[in-house]
Amino acid sequence: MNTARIHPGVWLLLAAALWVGLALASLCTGPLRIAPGTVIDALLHHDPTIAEHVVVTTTRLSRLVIATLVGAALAVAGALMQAMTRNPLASPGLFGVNAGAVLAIVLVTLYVALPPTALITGAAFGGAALAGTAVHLLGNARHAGPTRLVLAGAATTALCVAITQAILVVDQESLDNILFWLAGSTAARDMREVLGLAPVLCLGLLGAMLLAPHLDVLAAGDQVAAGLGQRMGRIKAATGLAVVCLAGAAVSMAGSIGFVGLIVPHLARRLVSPRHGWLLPACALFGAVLLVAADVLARATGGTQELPIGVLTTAVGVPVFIVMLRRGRHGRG
Amino acid sequence: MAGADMIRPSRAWRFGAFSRRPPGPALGRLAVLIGLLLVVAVLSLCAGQHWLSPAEVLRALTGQGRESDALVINLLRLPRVVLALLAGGALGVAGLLLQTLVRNPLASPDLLGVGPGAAAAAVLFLAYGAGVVSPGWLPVAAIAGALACGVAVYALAWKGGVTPLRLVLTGVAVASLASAVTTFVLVRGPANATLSAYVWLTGSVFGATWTDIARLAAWLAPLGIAMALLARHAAIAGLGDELAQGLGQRVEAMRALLLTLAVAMAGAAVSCTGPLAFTGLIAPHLARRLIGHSFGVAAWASAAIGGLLVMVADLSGRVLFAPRDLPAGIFVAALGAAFFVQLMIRARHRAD
Amino acid sequence: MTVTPAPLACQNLHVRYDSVPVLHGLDLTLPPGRITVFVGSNGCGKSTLLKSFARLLAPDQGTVLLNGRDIAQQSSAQVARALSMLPQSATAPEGLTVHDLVRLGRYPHQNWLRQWSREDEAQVDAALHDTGLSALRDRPVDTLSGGQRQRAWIAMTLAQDAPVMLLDEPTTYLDLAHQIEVLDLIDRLNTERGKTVVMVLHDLNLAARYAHHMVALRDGAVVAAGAPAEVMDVTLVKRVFDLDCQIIADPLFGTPLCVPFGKGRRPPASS
Repeated sequence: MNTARIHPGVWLLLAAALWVGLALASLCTGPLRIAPGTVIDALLHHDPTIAEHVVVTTTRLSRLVIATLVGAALAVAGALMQAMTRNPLASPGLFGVNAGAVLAIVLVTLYVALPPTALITGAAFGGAALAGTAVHLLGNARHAGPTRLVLAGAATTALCVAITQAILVVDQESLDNILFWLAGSTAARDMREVLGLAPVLCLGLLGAMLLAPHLDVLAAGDQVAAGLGQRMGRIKAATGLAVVCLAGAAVSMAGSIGFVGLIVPHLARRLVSPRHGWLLPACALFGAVLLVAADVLARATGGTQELPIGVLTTAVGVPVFIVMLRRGRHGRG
Repeated sequence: MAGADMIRPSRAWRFGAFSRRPPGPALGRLAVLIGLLLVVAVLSLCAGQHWLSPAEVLRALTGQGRESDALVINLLRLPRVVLALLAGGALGVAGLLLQTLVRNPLASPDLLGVGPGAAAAAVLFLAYGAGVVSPGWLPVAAIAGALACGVAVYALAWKGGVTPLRLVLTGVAVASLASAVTTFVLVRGPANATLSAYVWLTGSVFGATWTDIARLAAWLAPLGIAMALLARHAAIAGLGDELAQGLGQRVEAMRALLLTLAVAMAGAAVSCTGPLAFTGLIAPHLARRLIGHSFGVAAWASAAIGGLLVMVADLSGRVLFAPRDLPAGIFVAALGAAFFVQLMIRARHRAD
Repeated sequence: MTVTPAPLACQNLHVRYDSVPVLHGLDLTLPPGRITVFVGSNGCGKSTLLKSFARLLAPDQGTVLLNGRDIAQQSSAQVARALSMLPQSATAPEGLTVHDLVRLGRYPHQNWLRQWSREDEAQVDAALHDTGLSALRDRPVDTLSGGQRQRAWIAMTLAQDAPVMLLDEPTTYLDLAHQIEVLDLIDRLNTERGKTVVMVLHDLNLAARYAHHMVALRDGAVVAAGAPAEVMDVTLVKRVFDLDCQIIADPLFGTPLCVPFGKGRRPPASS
């Protein structure tokens, strides 16, 4: 389709360079404008007495780390789901995985006053896994087309959201605390929490990369994969586990951020390569770039009160999705 | 051509040019359903902070009982029951219509952005309009939001025609966008609006007034008539485009008309009660299982079951956690969860 | 003697599918009261041709004539009363019974007032009887076997009571016994009820056995049209399917039987 194919490696380098630029912008932006020179100073020659240096290395750096990791995680989770279900419309947001994680977290905060990060993350994983399983069971009947899967995902998401809302209505104190976070936010996390979750995320990303060659085989179809000797059950289970880890960790870090897991893999597939060896790293990088950019935008335009990131990614993601839909082959259902 | 199996008693309702096929055993089941509806309605009127006996309820309704009773019944409980019935019924029929049109049993009005669209409009109204315009305009805003969403979804999905898959996907996307708008307003809007908006979002018949009911009835009457007139077309549309066209239906025109009907019915219901998610998903399923899959009869059953569901949910909200009065939407969601589990178990057996 | 126009014909028909030209200027007249079968390899345009006759696809150029008049000028209801179409993978809504399904076939004859006239009832009963499904009328369609399900769909199009029946690959996905069952039914409907049948079949030999009139297509153009006995020979099979064969007379029915062979396995020397 593309006449001049740029080598995948070049795309990765470009994305990495873009990330560096955006990272710098992210560290500069905020209610307190900090000059790039000061930022670099803060990173290299950190001086705890200078206020700006402190801001850079605490709140701003944590936001950058969160945005990067969460963006990468959601994008890779989306790519994994699309490979596993062989359906280009799969994504954690659309398939209830995010909503399930949110519900689990809300349930936990309802019963435990100040839950430790481990509990929240564990709950997120559990919720993500349950929702994902529900969608899988509901949506994959024999002779069912992609419509059924999408509808199962939508229905599961709606159910989780309804229950979440119900709980928040009953327990009104939680509502105010959680509301902002629910919409997706990179804020209000101290570095220790972030560092606590980061290893899980990185493990998930690593695991995904290891699965890459197997996913290419899986994409060829169940029968082909079996014929080529692949242990499909194990691969699917491992992929499912990776998705739960990535989506669960992402949600517990930053709330529910939609459309990243849907759009980034499509973009990466078209620009870089459909082979997972290149696709997954590309997704990670593109996802990180996207979310850092969104984060910068959210803080730059928000004034004193920032824009929830989830709203931003949806506002951008939906038009892109609809354009993709109209141009793509999904027309003839 | 005659044979032994041709001699069957001719079952038909015929009167002049008018002819209909009687629903058969389904009619009996429908009657039972309506009976159940009445029982729950009476129970709903009895229950509450101040329990009344059915006899007292009857007396209050006919104007013979104590004045305090009549007040409670006529001003507080009866409106809730009637609203639950109307809204639930509308959602049930709209859900059945959508599932038939999309040819998938997992479709629901929320999918076309009805719920989220109404919610976004309502929340916008509560946050920015409540001070400026009388709160009586809230349902109008909500219905406008629902219709706008429905139109947007259809227009965006239309590319020389509309396929169920594209419709569903566009619906999910637009619904997400509407939800994002809602979230945005909740987070950034004036703080006092947040809680009332959130409560509205959960869906409830609390505080129903006769004006609300009058307004809803004014919408639903013509829509109901339209549904009765178009029912037989819906059944054909459910066969798929090629067959429907082969049978002589103008597919695109009929689909647009029926979708508008579904969105309008669901939008009207949701504008009065807030999004009662899952009523439009569950009621058609139960209706089809109990009554059968012929559209006309199933539509009546779906309306009855939808009304029943919302009434039971409201009743539960008033009684189970007394003295708190919880929104009906919570229990509809809980029922939805139970229903889902059951659907999954069935799907499992099917796939095996 | 008045000349009744042929029920279905096309003139200079050019059709695109997904903006790819598929049919290039076809001229065909289909014989009334006979079984016509379109044959050809995949992608030759036979399904497209059938859909164009059914008015499911609009032609780029040229016209399709139904009863001598342009089909595009006639109303949907008129067309539905003149021809019925059974598409390739018809799916019934979950749980619908056979009787409910066949009833839907009466749609073009009904209006809001008249939804179950005596005529409707008689046609449905006759359709069920002719397809041998009277005993199964209250069974859900999705619990039937492949052959029974296909018969239910045929019953629905029968109830439509249109003189012309179009069927797009009615035997695909069926095992051999059910294929014969369905084709025998279609043959009987043609003989007993005088239906004009037009169908697409992918099995050349079954087409040769059941067709009165065979239309062979290749790359969107008609290669041959006529009775199988006259038209089907080795050169035709080579042109249409790119396949070598021998044509013999079917030992049971006498119709042409194609015995194909390729470049791999050769028949044994003593043949």
